[in-house]
Amino acid sequence: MDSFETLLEKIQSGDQSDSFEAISEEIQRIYGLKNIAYLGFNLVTRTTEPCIKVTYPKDWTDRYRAMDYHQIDPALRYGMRSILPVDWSSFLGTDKTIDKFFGEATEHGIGNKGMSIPVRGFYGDIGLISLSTDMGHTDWASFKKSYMKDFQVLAANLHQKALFELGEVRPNIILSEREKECLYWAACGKTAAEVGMILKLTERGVRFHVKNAVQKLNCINITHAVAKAVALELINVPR
Amino acid sequence: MIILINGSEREKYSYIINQMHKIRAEVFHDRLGWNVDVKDGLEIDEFDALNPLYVLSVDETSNSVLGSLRLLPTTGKNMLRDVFHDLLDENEIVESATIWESSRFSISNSAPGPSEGRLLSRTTGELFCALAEIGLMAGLSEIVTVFDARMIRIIRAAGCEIIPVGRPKRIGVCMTYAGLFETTETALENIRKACGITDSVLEPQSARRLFAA
Repeated sequence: MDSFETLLEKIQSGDQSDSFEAISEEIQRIYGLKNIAYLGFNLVTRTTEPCIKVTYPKDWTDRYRAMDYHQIDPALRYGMRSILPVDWSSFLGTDKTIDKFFGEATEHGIGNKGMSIPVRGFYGDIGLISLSTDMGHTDWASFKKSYMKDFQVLAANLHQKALFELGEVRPNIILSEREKECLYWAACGKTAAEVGMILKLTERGVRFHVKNAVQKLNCINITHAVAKAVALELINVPR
Repeated sequence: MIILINGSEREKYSYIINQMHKIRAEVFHDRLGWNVDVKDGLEIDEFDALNPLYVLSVDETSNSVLGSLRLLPTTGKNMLRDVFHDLLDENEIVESATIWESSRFSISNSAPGPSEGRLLSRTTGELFCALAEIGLMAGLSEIVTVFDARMIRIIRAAGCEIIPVGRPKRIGVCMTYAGLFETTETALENIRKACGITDSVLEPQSARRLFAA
């Protein structure tokens, strides 16, 4: 799927117009899904309260909250503790409360098939991306086979995106002068070798500083780190 | 037969999980002399607290564990990143949503050896097949693992092609390596052929429970 690369670029761009919600909707459209839900737990700046971003109808989120469904939603319980993606159908047929919960979800416009993909983050943070669809049994089986890898990558990136939008940075994050310089020149489009020449560092040295900056900023790659460093005013806007 | 257990279910499956920790103590502490903590005959480390996915080869009639390994995503805490980072070059990171780390690969002393004409035991074969099968179902591209010289022969015999990462280093008593192998359909076929396994090794119920495949 060509759109996959485009989606990834958008998620990583840090552009205001490519908000988490806008991207969720685009993923739904491209992959023929009904809903996408994100939950972030154990975040650095919000250790007690989860971060929730869903494209569910308001009726359902209201109902979910009113009924304290987070206490019985099996995908939630599973996702926080596991690493394997899970198909919701594996929760059915063992517990009446759970069957009723999924039945109600479908009545409220959630797809009748779905899965949840857990994400383990850099600092012990956890993300959970759930997607639902109304596609038929055969289509769903081949969808999972074809796109599980896409969704592993999208899930990890959406988690980073959510952290980014929350301004989640490691507390007391301080970039060294070298790290800032390297990021700044990378933001100007220079290669590691060129940055090395400018700053009189070896190319390996440059990569080392950049890697450290990417990690400190809780980012997934240099593009992401540059966007975040600019947004947080840690480096100047590139010329 | 391979069963999958989430770390969070260790209480429920304590009979199996305890056998695994005991075998790990026998293998890594007693036999290989690695610097691992053993308490009450069980080898347990900090990564066991992260709810990894345990992959266990179990004898279906006696319910005894014959071998095991554990998986952790490389986007989160893992052994290569947090313990063995010296194996990687300065600018090298193995961190990807489609790469999981396999660690604590161990085979019980009481597991049956290879059958005639085979290089590897059924247990070893099952564990390698399981890695490829899980990788395919979970949408992974590769498994990364840290291993010693003894494992190189086993990995090769299992039909896995190792893509080396970083540079080998002497740690404690042994040369230590890091490497990736792919979890593609072709890789699974090669492993099956090398190990003489024809079908899925995953116990259907545990596979269904976790994937609904």
